Amino acid sequence: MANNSSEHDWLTRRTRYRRVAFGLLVAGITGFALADVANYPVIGVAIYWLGFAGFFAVRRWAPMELFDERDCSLERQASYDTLRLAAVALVLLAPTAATLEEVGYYEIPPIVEGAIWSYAGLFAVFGVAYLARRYRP
Amino acid sequence: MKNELRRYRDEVGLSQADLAAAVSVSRQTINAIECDRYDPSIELAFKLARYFDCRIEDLFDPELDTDPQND
Repeated sequence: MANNSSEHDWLTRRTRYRRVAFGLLVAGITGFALADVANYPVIGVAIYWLGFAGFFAVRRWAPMELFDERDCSLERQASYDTLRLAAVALVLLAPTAATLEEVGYYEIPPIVEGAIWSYAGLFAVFGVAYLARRYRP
Repeated sequence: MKNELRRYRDEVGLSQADLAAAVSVSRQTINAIECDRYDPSIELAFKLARYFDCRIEDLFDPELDTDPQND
């Protein structure tokens, strides 16, 4: 069994790296929003990308894994829940809106049409990703 | 999955944080395992068993129904 103080040190460092990584992410998003409000959209995009690049750089080059197997499991479950929610929305929304428009009862607003196509695109990507995972050599 | 992780940890006087660091996971993961809210991977189960120098079956009880009549 290892030394307790070095183990605590390991956990403290891991927590610190995680905070830095998520801090960069939040800084990127906040910076983008603030720069956009201040009418500097190009600078905002640069800050946004820098924030994400910083997040992935810390994650990639941190001396330890910043996300353990339970983090991955939670991410998988949350992704599954999100997909289920999107599936329900798509199954209910798409045919209903299309049918109502077809019978001249309702005209689909562009934003709803965009959402439907986005959901459909999401599932198309999911299908491709699933098949790629399933049949990868 | 039922497990004896807390008992094993208490026996050697380890905190959740100590054990977490020893097997390279977060303290929350150890807590979730002890509270039966998370089933560890085989790899982590092996690490824990190796750490406590016991068999995986000593730490974890999957409560499998082994009665052949129920197959």
